Amino acid sequence: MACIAQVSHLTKRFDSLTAVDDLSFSVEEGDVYGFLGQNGAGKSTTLRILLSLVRPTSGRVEIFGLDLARHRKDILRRVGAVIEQPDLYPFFSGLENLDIFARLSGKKQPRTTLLEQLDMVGLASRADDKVGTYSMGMKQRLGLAVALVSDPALLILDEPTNGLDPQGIADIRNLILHLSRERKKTLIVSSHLLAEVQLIATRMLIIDKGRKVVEGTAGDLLNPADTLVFLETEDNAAARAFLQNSTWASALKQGLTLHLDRREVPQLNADLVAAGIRVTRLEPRHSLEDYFLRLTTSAQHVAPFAH
Amino acid sequence: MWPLLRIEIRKIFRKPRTYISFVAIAAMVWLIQLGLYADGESYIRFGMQSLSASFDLGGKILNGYLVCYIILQTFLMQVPLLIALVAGDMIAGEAGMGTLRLLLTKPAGRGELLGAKFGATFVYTVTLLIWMALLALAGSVLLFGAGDLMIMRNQEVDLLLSGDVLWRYMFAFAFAIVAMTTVASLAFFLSVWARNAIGPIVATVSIVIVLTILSTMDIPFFDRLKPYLFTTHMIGWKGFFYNPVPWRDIGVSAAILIGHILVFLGATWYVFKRKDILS
Repeated sequence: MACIAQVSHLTKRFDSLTAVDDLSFSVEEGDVYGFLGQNGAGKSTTLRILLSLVRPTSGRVEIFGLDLARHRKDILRRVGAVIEQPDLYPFFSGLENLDIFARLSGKKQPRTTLLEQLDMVGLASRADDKVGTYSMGMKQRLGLAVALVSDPALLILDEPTNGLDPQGIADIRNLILHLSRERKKTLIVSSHLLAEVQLIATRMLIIDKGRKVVEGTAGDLLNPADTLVFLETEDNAAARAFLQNSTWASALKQGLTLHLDRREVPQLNADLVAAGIRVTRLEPRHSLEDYFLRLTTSAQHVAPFAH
Repeated sequence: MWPLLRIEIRKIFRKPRTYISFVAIAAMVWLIQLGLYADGESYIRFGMQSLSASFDLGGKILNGYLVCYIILQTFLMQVPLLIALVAGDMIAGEAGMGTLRLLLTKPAGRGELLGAKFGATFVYTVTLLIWMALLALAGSVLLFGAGDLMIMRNQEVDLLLSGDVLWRYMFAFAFAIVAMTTVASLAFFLSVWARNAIGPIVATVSIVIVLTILSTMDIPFFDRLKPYLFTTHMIGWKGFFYNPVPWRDIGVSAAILIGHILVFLGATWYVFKRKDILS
């Protein structure tokens, strides 16, 4: 696989605030690269640097093997992007917006081609309506059509499901999967929702306070062998005593939390029931999910993974 | 560059706010023409009362050329506001709308984009002034007829024969384009700093008002400043109605205005090239 984007020791400071702190990662051809972090973690700033909207304080970005600082135009010809909410010209129709951005990309296209693009995002029937009359979900989809209008090899989508209803989120997710699988695009998709990214990403990076926390393939990071099981019973003290004196002792962590392979969960339940312990809650959760949940809901972080 | 310029022009003329300026110019011109048509003779008598005591004035003084001249003098402050309305919106408006970041993710250079935006602002400025010329000059001549143009300047009177006026208006409007482009470039420069169009529009008008006051006040302290203020030179168009025309003074004023345009544009380019797009 060819390396599409290589980010090396990227740092961005705004006065005293360090938004991105010595961040390095790489995106391979064909990746759906999940870029995760809580709000303010530095995701948008990083993506803006990748699009040359923000100048890095230090570090280097190479896209398609070209230095972004020196080959901005050549790179952007092959990149499509939606940064945060897709704000478009409300006084133009969807089709006119698409036409404008196709021309700006140097690829003027006939109306029929533009309509095909709109059809792909389900907006062909509203092509001639002013964007000011579009719903948030429609604007988001039009934003994607704008990003795709020049048929880019790399798509950068910053929080593409923000503000959408569940159906809208599912539509965007399916579209991303279609672009990756059918049209062989490489995508970088940022989100603050792990559940959303893990459904689409082939590789992931989690950042916090501008620094890399963990990076790897979704398969590695979401390994079923790396599961935390949260247990509650009618008698927690008896349950813990049972587990301490059983084959589960090595997996037992604090309280009634166990670290084990997800496939062992049914056996654990069976053993507890056999021991006469009535289980009221048995919640397997991937340790990455647990980590991310704590990261995004609490100021107190658990120790990062040793990747 | 041309596709970018065409897109920017298309954007300007699709925004409803652009037409506020055209409607405002039309309303102001028609109001002045209506007022002068209804009671212009009294206005002229009042204006000429110091002369009437010494001279016997005959003929049709209130004609289309004079009405146009009165309109141009009246619009000294209004037109810069209308220019700022669009020029101040060019970058700040896009930043506020969120489209600036989308524009800059496309493979156009920041300098090219800036050039296209200023080019479109220039097209708007020229179009607005042509509209004004059509209404104020052609409209007034149609309504009041042509005639000799009598202009009072300090204690002197310049009388320009009917056949000697039209070319002066052509040059005056050409000069006005340079003057208003200076205002546009100032608004453009202020626009690069803001994420909301209101700020640069208000700031531009405020600066023009303050500098115009400094340019017109007869206080010796400000006299040293006056030659450097672009507002001092914005009224250079009046020179075309003097006899003889002070070509050198007009040339100096035009050069100073063009110098201001270049400085404002250079500063805008310098800031915009280095600006982090966070909107």
